[in-house]
Amino acid sequence: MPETNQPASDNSLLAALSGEDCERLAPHLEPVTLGLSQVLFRPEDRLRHVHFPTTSIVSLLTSLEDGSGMEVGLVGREGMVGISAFLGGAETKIATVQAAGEGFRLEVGKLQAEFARGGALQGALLRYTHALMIQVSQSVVCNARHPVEGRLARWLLMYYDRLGRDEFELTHEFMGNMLGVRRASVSGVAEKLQVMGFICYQRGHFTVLDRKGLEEFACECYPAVKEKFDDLLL
Amino acid sequence: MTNKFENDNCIARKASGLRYRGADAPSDDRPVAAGASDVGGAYKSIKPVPFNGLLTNKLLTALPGEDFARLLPHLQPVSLSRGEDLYDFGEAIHDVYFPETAVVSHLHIFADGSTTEASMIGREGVTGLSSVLASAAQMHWTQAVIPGTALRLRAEVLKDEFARGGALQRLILAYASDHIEQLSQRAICNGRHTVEERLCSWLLMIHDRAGDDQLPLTHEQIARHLGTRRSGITDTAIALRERQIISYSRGQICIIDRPGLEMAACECYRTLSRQNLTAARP
Repeated sequence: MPETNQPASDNSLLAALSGEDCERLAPHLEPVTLGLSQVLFRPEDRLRHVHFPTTSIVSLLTSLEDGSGMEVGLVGREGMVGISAFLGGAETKIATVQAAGEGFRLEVGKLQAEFARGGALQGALLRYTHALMIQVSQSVVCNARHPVEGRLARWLLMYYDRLGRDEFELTHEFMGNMLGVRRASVSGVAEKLQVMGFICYQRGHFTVLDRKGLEEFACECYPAVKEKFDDLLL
Repeated sequence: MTNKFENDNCIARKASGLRYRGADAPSDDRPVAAGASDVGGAYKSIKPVPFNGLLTNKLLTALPGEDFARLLPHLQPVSLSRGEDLYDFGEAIHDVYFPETAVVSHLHIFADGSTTEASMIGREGVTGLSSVLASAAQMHWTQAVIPGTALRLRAEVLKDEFARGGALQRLILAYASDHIEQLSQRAICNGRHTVEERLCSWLLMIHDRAGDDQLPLTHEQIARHLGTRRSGITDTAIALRERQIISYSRGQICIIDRPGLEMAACECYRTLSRQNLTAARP
């Protein structure tokens, strides 16, 4: 694993640790580089590590029996990938890296030991679990009601917030999963946002040109989740 | 679209509930002993009832004797009537409810006042998880979709027991995981499946939790939960009745062919029932 100089505090959950907690955990936190499309786990996997993204983003996909998937949650620097490590049971989702970048990983046993202490990390992880529930809840109601263009705008804003930059790559396959549409119709949806001048889109490369416009166009689910996330995690 | 404010005489209270109240709202100091008659301002209509002696909530029955004995003096049987509000959006959580025969629904309220259900809770779970996980306020309008009994517990008591790190903590965390599973499956279901498939899966989920073939549900109410037009629910219900899978009249739906309903449902019901509910069926 490449060594990097990133501070663990770039991840909000790790930033919640103070002094003693930090010293106990720090030797076990391993900096990792996560590559685009790298799969961190699949359903039924028993985890060996949990991941704390810093500059990377991991997408959580639920899939149907025919293999098609849909994104139900996003984990960036505000969260941790692999909550089954402390909730118990096996993972049921697919966790795929959607924005390459840095993060830390921690052995599941070490995480469980720290969780069992009932200290700051436990508190932060439980708050995060609650926040993730809010995010997935919003996907439930959003998918029932909102048109695909508004949903794309919402997901793009969620990427923007987590990456802290206005340019990023998203593969067609992933966008199809994100929106629950066939890969072939993905470009059409992105082009609509481009025609309105919110984004520039070329072969999976997105540049957000008008963030305010994109926010106004996104479905109400974007501010609904963002407000709650900010309250809980920041 | 259906509007949750229809026939609702407490719009002002709902509207004020839209303000997020955050984590540190003061808890009241109401007595917790079983049979206590003071049930607090917002919940006056939730009636304490004598305990029928049959415990069916899976979280409570899975607790080892010693742990359960600690909770027992604080558990108060209550009856939840049809459409009873447990929490408004943004409301501080003073009590949690372990449903027995009642089924409770988390409804999201959109800006236009219309609603869609995010998840449901029956005897496999407990309401008010946000109080334990994050000391946070309730994030959904929470309502009894099927009337019935539940056991009420002060949120503080649950939090204290959770903090002991024993069996209850493990059960609550496993339940949180199941609840996220329900949400994830319903997210993809809403994105991919037809109204008929979704309606069938939803009825099966309700049926498992309520444990009764007679379900007091109107088409209007179902539309409010599935986030679809009422006419779409009516058309689907007519089709299911013609196939003799369900019958209905005056706000009652009766499940007459459960295997038929399972055939008509999408895979989401099977996926979810594999995970957590098979053991809950009476």
